[in-house]
Amino acid sequence: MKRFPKLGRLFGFTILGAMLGAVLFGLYLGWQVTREFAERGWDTPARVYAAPLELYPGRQLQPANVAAALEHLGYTRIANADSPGSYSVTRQMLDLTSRAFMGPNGLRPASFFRIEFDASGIRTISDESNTPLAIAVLDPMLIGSIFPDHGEDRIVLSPDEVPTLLIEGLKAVEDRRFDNHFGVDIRGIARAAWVNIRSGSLEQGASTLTQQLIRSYYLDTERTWSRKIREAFMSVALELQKDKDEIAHAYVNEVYLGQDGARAIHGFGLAARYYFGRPLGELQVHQLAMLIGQVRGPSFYDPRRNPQRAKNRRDLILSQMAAFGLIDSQTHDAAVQMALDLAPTNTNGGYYAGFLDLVRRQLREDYEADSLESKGLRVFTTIDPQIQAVAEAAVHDQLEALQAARPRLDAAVIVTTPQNAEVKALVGGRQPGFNRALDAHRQVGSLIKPAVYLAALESLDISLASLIEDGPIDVKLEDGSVWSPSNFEGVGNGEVTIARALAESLNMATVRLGMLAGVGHVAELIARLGLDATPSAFPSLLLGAIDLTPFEVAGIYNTLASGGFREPLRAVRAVVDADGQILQHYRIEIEQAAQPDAVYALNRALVQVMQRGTGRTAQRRLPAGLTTAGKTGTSDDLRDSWFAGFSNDHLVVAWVGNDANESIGLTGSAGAARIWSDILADLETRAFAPPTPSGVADIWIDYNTGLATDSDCANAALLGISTRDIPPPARRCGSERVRFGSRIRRLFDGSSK
Amino acid sequence: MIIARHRSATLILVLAFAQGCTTLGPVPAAESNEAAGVPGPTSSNPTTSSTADSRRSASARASRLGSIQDTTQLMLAQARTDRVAGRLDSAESTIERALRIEPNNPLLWIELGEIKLASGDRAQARTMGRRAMSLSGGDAAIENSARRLINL
Repeated sequence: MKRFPKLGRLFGFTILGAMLGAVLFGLYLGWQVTREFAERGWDTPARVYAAPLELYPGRQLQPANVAAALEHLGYTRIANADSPGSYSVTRQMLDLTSRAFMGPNGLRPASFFRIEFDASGIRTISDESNTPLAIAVLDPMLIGSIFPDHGEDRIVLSPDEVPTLLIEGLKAVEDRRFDNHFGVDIRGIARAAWVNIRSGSLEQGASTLTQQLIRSYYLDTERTWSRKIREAFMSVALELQKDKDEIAHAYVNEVYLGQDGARAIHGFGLAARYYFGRPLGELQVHQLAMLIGQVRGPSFYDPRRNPQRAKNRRDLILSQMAAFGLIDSQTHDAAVQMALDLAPTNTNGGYYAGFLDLVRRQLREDYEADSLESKGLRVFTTIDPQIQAVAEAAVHDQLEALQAARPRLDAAVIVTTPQNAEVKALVGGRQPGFNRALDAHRQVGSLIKPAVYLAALESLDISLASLIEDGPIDVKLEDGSVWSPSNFEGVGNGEVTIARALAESLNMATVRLGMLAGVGHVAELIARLGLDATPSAFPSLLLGAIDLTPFEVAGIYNTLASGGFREPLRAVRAVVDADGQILQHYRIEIEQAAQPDAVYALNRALVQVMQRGTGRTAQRRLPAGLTTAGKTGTSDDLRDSWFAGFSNDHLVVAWVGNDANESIGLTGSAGAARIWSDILADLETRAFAPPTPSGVADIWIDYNTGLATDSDCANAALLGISTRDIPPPARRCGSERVRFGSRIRRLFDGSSK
Repeated sequence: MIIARHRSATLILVLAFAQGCTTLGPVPAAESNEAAGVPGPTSSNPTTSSTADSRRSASARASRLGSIQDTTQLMLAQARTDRVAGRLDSAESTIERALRIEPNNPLLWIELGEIKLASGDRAQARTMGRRAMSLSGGDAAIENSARRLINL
């Protein structure tokens, strides 16, 4: 009995020590994994929603347009639109049932709407009891969540949004004893080992859902014993502290399900959006089965690259679901007959990285990072998913077309609705990552000229019909040197109307006018229109020697488009807390930045830019009758190609350039203008036609001479002229005199009309 | 979600616009005298100095359903009702929605100014008055309402 006392004691201590070590190791891993679990707190990050689709009588949409918008929202077209998220359509009528939704104004139940159309658009909207309605507001699209460090590429689901069939299906396929094991499935391991021994290879794994979850946390796919042991320890530790529902819920939001370029698709919420363009809750049995099938090998079973393999896997899952009694045989038979039903991939799969970046920055001004990431807030934003898709497609198509042998082109686009300064779309580049719309500070070139002309209209006693010399000008700089700007084409045009100088972007005339108005005044006006700080007042500012971001440019042009009233561009409408209480409404708040009369006159001249100036080509690519106002911008050595312009309802700013600031050989009208007109042509938007302010008259002016003329004369341009400044009428169509060389001498002295 | 139901014969608005506090019962609004006293929304396409001609009369508008102007008119009435009843948040949401539909309608900006005023924001009320004035198209009634806000 006491034959080996020392050895026995040593042995005992060793065992004890090993056990203590194992316990400590286990506790350490447990602490690690629960911390990870808590940090990911999947039910708490702020959820971000797009602006809802609003349908109302008089809106110029046809059934096909509304159907397209509904498809974008993931609505399913069926014969009888009686389930939430479905619609049916005939030639003149569209029925739909919206999804129930917790909005900024409380719960909106799922509602039936009948929309009837006539040739001009929506004629009536009525509800299920046939009562006419003024407007139907649909459920907004969930576009993402705000996370600490995992980016925004996840759609987190709360437990009640996860279909039971998904959880049960996952258990049936991946982990049959999930409800009973303690994190590790001993029987499963034994079975797998037996299979592997018999086949002589590592064919079958026996990872529980818990183990898979932990593997996903640490992005560790290496199949080693030490990894497996650590994983097993952590699984047990997690099971000891969390119940099965919590673990299953975390799994659904975490598991890796595919790859979209550089973006990993994690979680079934995002996977449903990525593969099917719909919320998880609306997926049909065959679609759920396909997603479950992805778990085992998202790359191997990628339904877009290997559709047949993905379908075989899906059908296997379906038969397993049937074998476990999760679906009946009829459902099974119908489901295996279905196609994969994947969503088209013409956009970024509903991943609005650039816009979400803006949302997060704007929210950070009012909220601690902690509240955004952990308080379960709901954020209602301004983005219009359809406009975003149009903008992304335009950037994609035009960059493909323009790229050729140039340095790598990239682009940025911002679309706003000027009157309320809401950002409807934002593209930060070809790929998510560097957000050029917000962070690329680039020289704006002639894009700045409207500010020069507005400063002149404000401070000098002139009108758009006034004449100015477009000839050589020497500007003496502070350091004693002399600056002699030249026109893009090199030559001067003699005396030109102010309207023409702007429309044709004449540099010498612009500098002359800007020097009269005062560079300091121009700089101060630029700031008033949309910057936080006044730029340095060097004369070269008059030709756009200033670096601005596309977002800043959009701010400045938004003020012009809204008649001189400034409002910071907004990406967020409202923030609601986890209990549905409004925390903040971001309301329209405007300030008057410039005189409406002067802005009106300027905008009329920007219409001339589009009709006979540097925006001509862009205007020609728009539908007939869609009047717009805009301006090109090109920086030195053709490094930046800009276009900014607006209709009645939308402002679009587009930039094309190279990240290394190399010359891309594109002017504003050859590059960015193409993206601009692609977008504007695809929007539901109305012609730019602001009401004429009192004290201003719209007068037909000869574009060349500045004399009043008739609308049917060749060079007649409709300009907004102060009623004090109406010029004398020309004899016949005034331009003829110019054509014969007898140019009228109207010396510009700063006070002539 | 329903904002307003429109029974054309009686012009009764039933509003189920659950803004914060309550769902409203039937609210008579846009009755003939009020509608007639209110200048119509500006035409969306004034290319000459006069916009008055192209503006449909209030009575013509009231008898027709299905135009954008009808929609914003109903929302304007709803916003007024809410403002008078002190439901300023609801009123402001409604008028912002109307402005998304018809941004150049000066009456909507005037109502937004009234809501800002009722919320105690005189500076914003004045600016909304200026905004409305710039969109008045020379309409004397609109300019009077706008001026009242500007001169606060």
